[in-house]
Amino acid sequence: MPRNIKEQFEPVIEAKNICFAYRAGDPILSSVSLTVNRGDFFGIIGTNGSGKTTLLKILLGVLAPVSGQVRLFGEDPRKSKARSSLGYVSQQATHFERNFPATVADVVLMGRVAGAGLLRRLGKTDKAKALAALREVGMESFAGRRIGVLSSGQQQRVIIARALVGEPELIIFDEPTVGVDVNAEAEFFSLIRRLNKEKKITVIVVTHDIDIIGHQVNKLMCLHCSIATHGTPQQFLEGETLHAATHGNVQLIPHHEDRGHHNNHSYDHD
Amino acid sequence: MIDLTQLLLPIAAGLCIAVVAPTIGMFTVLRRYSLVADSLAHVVLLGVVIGSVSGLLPGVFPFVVAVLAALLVEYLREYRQVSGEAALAVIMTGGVAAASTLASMFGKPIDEEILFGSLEMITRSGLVTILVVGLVVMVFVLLLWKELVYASFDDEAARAQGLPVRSINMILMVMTALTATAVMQVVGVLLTGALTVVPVIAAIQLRRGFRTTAAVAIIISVTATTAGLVLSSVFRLAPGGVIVLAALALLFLIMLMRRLFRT
Repeated sequence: MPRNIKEQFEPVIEAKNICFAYRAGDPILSSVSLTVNRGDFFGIIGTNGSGKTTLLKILLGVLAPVSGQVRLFGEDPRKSKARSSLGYVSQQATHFERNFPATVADVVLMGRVAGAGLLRRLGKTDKAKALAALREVGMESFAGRRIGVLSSGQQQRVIIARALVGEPELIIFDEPTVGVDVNAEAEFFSLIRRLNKEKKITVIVVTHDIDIIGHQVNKLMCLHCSIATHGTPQQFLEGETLHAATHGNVQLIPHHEDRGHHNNHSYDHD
Repeated sequence: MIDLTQLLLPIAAGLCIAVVAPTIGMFTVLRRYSLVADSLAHVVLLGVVIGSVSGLLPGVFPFVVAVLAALLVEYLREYRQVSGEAALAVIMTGGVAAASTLASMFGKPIDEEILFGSLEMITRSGLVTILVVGLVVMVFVLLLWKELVYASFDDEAARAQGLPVRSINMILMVMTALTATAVMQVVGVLLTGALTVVPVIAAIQLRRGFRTTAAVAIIISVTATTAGLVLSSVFRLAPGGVIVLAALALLFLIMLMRRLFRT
């Protein structure tokens, strides 16, 4: 099979039976498997402390699993060159030192540092790409502003531009909407959906809040130690998995109030 | 009249550290790790005492001890999940305790000059060491500039994109240790931290981009160091205190100007 066709059908991420523990005898992840295909909008939900961020770090090769296998673009993630172009928006992405002396353009350019390699300075092409990425998220006119003076929603857009600047096939978001207001949250998801649909960027979003993500994604996985399943959001929301994964503390309440063209589901704590 | 020839050694050494200290300070302050150079300078005291007790390579021990301490801090932070602040506190107090015990054991008092700096402390060979160390630190920092900026701004994203953040942090810590040891020879153990931190905090007030801020920090630091060295030689004062007071004066001046001209 020619390489480009093979690439097209190759999963972006394939993980099999991942186990991980920071301390022996205290497993964070046991036997987690998942496959993310090209073009997926993949959601991972789990309660706080369920190992979501740890899983991401393993998928990206930042941490090595105790056992199990990970393939990122068909390679060992720790050796994958493709990492330098992917986008990663961490939970702490907007928690930088407020007075950090960097302009919006400086921050976006950081997304090209890993791809440029050591000893190479970022040049005109990089700057043009940074401006293009800012245009993509509607923040071009802010390029010369200092990052610290923007609102949290605007800062998030800049961080997304930084994720886009390497022309990634995959962007990963860890708890992207914590500390962001409802409007910014809606804008965030409409932007991400557009990138997913129009630019065919594979997206993984990790969150503890199923409410915000259940209807955005095409695949949803729930993470809680040994329980890791994934399927369509609908199957998931209606199934027993959610109940099991949250120890019954979360009750699924289907809403039948019609908001637009689909039914909404939400959940309440007991 | 000031005898300028007497001032040449300290001024040359002072200018060198005045450039290097805030350059390193840019990265430590922005990582919310402002006290790292200060803590490592305290550990240098142990190196000074070992050097003077053993009588061997008194110019080398301070650097060696500081670098080992820096590596230990980074090890505790990265591999033992000790918070950076706690690791620094342990290393700093441990270093001072060992220095004081060793010094009293061998009846070698710790000179005030080492604590607060002294113009006479800078010898010709000391100056050469300071210049070489300064050059090494600047070369490493300039080569790793964009990686250091990224890792200081968003450590996790830098790791996710495959940058060797662990090694970068390790190198930054070693460079900080070398810088602290060089700076300490001019301003003394107790005031080393100030020269890495105060000019940077002052420059940040101007709200500019990274490079401009670094350049302004260096200008502030060079101005304060030159003024401090000249004043301390005229009035026969310990240079460390005068240099740091000059830097603090510039910080307050900038804060005041900002208040007056931007409402």
